[in-house]
Amino acid sequence: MAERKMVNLTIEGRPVSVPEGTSILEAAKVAGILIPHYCYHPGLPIAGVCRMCLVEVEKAPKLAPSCATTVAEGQVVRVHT
Amino acid sequence: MGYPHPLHERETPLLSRYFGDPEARSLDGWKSRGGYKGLEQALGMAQADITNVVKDSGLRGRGGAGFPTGLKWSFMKPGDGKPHYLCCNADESEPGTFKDREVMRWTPHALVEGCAIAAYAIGAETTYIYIRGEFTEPLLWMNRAVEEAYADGILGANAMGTGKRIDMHVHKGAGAYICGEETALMESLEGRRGNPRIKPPFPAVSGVFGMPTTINNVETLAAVPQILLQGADWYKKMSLSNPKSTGTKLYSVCGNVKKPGTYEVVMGFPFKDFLYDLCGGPLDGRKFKAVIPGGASVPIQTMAEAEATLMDYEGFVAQGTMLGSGGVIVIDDAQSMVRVIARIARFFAHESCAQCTQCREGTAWTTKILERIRDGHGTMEDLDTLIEIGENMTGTTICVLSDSCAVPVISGIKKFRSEFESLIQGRRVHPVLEAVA
Repeated sequence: MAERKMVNLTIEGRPVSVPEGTSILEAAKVAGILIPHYCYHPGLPIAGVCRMCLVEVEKAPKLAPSCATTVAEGQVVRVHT
Repeated sequence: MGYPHPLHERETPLLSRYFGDPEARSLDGWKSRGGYKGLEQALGMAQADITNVVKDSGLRGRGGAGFPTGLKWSFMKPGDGKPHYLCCNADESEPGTFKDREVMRWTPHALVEGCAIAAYAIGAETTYIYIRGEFTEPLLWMNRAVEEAYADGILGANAMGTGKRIDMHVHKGAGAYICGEETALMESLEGRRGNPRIKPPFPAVSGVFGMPTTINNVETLAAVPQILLQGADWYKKMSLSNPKSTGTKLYSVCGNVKKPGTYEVVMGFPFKDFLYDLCGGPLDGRKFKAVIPGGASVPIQTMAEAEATLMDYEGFVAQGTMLGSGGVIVIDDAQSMVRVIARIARFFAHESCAQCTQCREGTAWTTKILERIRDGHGTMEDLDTLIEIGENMTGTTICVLSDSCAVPVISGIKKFRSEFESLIQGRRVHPVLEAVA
């Protein structure tokens, strides 16, 4: 299997590198940051309805649900704001 | 011809020309009034050219958001091997709005023609017209119009003898407000509960049945044949204010005015003249107090703001509100703003799909507090609580229903705070009940 492309981003000031297509919530877990969530579970399809996991993404107009938003190169995410 | 009032000289009847004329409903009547010439012309043009004409005309979505229609169409990529769909959003449920209903009741063939042109331009094989469940009369006329068009060979496998395939289905909704939201409409069309989907992916990528879909409002699609026939420049010139808002807009006026009804004026028309001249001003002995210019989900305007407004997308924003769907609700000095706002909040609490926490809890909580104030049991802290709830409901949910509930509440409290306060301070009896007693 071909190696998946890695994406670099910053969450709460910590640089993280995760495979393409990962959600911000999962990427934060890799960085050791817990984004609080209710309706998200890795074994279930994404509902994105509890709105507990909303995070601030730099240059995005409004808060993004971190469970349903995939990471992008150079993204800057703030959780505890 | 105007409906139900005679045409006012300052109106520009483009879509409303045949309102009130029963003969325009039939295929023959519509053809003798110049119908289906736009489609005939469109089928002889290249698909991209039609999109470009619409783009040049500056036509923007008439459902509320005001997204440029030509740009939306250009997101579709015909010939990528997938089925494509066109949806016509006829689930007009915004409180105070009844413009699409009139289009479908009086000129159903205008919508069929607009849909057929759009379907051809974006390469959609199938068109769905999603009509609100309560609209029994428009449904009747639309079904009849589509049947007639099939029988005449305008639609079908060989549309107007050109060998192009255009299929059209009329779908009756079950009467949920939320199904007017584009992704909820698609869920509902597929046979599921009308819950809005998370965006992205947008409908142009994954819409009905997971396939590329374009969704447009009735009024938008009904304007397309005229644009093709008369040209983009003609449509672009119909603006009194700025080049970003072009063409005409239907407004449905209701509430405390002398002549409620559906009016059509060009973009940039002065709102003051519209209310006092076209709509006949306030009822005898009353004065206007507030206006909700675009259906219940836009900020409430005070009269000072309304009188300074030019009626276009930017003009309404400049005066602290939005054009929305064009459902003008006029409120006069005999009404209690608290009652009006509490009723609006109750509507949204009832119509929330209850997916997102902020909306499910927020709309119900807002209603509870507002009705408490209305009944004379409110406290001063309630007003600040309402504003705080409203701020947390804005921009944090999947769709904008939550924002739609918060916006009239916040704007109403900020602009008419004294009415809330006087009701809270000592006045334990409701003003209307007091007047009756």
